[in-house]
Amino acid sequence: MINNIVSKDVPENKGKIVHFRGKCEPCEKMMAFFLLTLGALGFYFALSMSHETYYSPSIIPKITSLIVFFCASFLFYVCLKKEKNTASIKACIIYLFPKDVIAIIVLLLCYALALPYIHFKYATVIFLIASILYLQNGKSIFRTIIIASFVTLTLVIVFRYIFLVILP
Amino acid sequence: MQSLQFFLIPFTSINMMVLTAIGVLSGIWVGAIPGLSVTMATSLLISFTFSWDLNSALALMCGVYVGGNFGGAITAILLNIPGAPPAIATGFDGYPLALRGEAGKAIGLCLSLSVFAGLIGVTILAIAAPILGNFALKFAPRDFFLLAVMGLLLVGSMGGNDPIKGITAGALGVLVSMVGMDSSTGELRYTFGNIYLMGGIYFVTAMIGLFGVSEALMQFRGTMQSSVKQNLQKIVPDWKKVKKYLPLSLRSSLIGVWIGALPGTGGDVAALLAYDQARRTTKNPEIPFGQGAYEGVVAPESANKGAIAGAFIPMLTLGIPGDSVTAIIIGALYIHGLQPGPMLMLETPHLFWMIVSLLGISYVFLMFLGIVSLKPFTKIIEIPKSIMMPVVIVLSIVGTYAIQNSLMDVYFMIGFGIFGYFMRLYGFATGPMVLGIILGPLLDSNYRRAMQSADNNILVFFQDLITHPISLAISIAILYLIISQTKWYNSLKQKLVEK
Repeated sequence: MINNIVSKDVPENKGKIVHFRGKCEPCEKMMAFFLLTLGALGFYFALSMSHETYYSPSIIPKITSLIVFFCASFLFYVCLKKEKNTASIKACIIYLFPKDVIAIIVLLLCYALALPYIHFKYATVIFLIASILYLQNGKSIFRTIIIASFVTLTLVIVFRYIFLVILP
Repeated sequence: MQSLQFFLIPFTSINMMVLTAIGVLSGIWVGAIPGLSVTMATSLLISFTFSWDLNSALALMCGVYVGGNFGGAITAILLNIPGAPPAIATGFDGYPLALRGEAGKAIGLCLSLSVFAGLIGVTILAIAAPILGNFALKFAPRDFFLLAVMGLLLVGSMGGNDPIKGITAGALGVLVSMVGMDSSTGELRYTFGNIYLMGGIYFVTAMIGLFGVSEALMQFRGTMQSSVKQNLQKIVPDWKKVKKYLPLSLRSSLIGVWIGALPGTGGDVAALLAYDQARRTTKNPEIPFGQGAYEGVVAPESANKGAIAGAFIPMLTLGIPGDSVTAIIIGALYIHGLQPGPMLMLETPHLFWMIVSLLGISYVFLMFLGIVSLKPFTKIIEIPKSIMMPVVIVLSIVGTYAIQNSLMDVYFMIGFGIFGYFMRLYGFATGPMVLGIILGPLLDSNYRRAMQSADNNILVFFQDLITHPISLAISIAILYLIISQTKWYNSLKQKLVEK
């Protein structure tokens, strides 16, 4: 299943579907711990909801947060057992955020934050030019500008004028 | 004889035929664009068709409904971004097929079998509408609760190699769906005083983030890979292949009609249930499920087409919408002075037969228009990823904003996208989380209504589950689902086969 793809930073495995069974990924323990905390917090906040009857609004939140908590605890325990050596923080960061991913996340956040100020048309053109240029290592600037402008124009025409959708 | 006359009305009107074709074509494109739902397109159409005569308005709406339902599968297969919720399950095996360069084949096969399944659904609608409608009315809240539990058990099938991770993701989804104001008591849950959280998190926002943005981010882990060339030589599948998947398509279509006929459960739930059913019953798929099994594309697509006809059953016979689109069509009927319900079939039988006919015509148009619009769509995937993925991100943002015109939804969507990226990295499937978000409200509201009708007595609640025939049947099905996922059951089954 594509959702279980784990692409490794090993050259021959790059882009291939690789799933390592019986071994935890770098910082998987931290992910399990994060989910465990999420479950615990979910239960804690559900305690403050009304709970007089079996049909109170807190029942399903309590049950589901407990399920998250126990499943995540199990995953945490499995990782603790499997991985004796803790991966270094640097290795974790490299695994979680390869250069391209971190760059696109930063650009995406800047784009989303810029939307209320410079609006859809300008923000989209800038985002597309910046991201495509970055991903193509700065090659063919002129072509990138044309593509970004064409895509933005098409989106505006299709969404704003044909589907009458309000753009950000 | 009179029914046949009513059935033939659209065939005698060029205007209705043209409007149905336009509806199907625009539905395919609308359905394929993530964030632009069929529901949204149909509701927009109501404002356009306000002054039209009812026949023309219905022709356009039926066309959009059928076309849009198929359109969702195109982007699910090509980009792993379901254009519409019923296409969520289609992407599980459809996208891996696109990665193999078989997107054209997959879409062609699912198109032809979708048409077959849709026509089966329409036939059932014509024959069994009153019977099935009455039966669906007998479902009590506890049955809907059980149905939601059954749906959630699918996380075992969708969670990949690790069911624990699937369950965690599913439960997280239910937890997310609890955010906001409780509809029955008005109590705020997990809002932390934030005004934006009071309305809850709309599941399309989460869906676009978890599927669209997280997929784009995963792609950036290997950005410079060349795009997969899609084989467009054989879009129309050969008869042998169609024949092979015909029984599965028929089974899934029947599941779709059944689930679609239950009010509140639409094509998305039907598709997921059919996917699970296909996974359990297909003994030796050519390609394993989750890696590009054709069965995994055929089953959900056939089911959601069956669900279209199914959704019309309670709408036309009881006046209860089967899903959000039929709810809008009910609105359109009200606008034109008609009242859907048991009397509709008695007072205006021509309307019922005309809808049956229009749905049938829409499927015939879908066959041709689907093939025509397939090539331009399949070309999308051949665009270099360095250009395609930033455009996907922009589309995700536009789609999310279009739902409620709220930038906060866009920020939530990005948050879900980044969280989905981490989930995928650690082998958590995002599908179960979306399933949890969809089924959460159904689970919560029906559990509480069932418990209220059991006088807050847990023993009475469980007693009801075994003393009512429908509840008992669903409970047995749930037990079977649980047992069939255990190692003990599988080894027992293997032993029996060996004997």
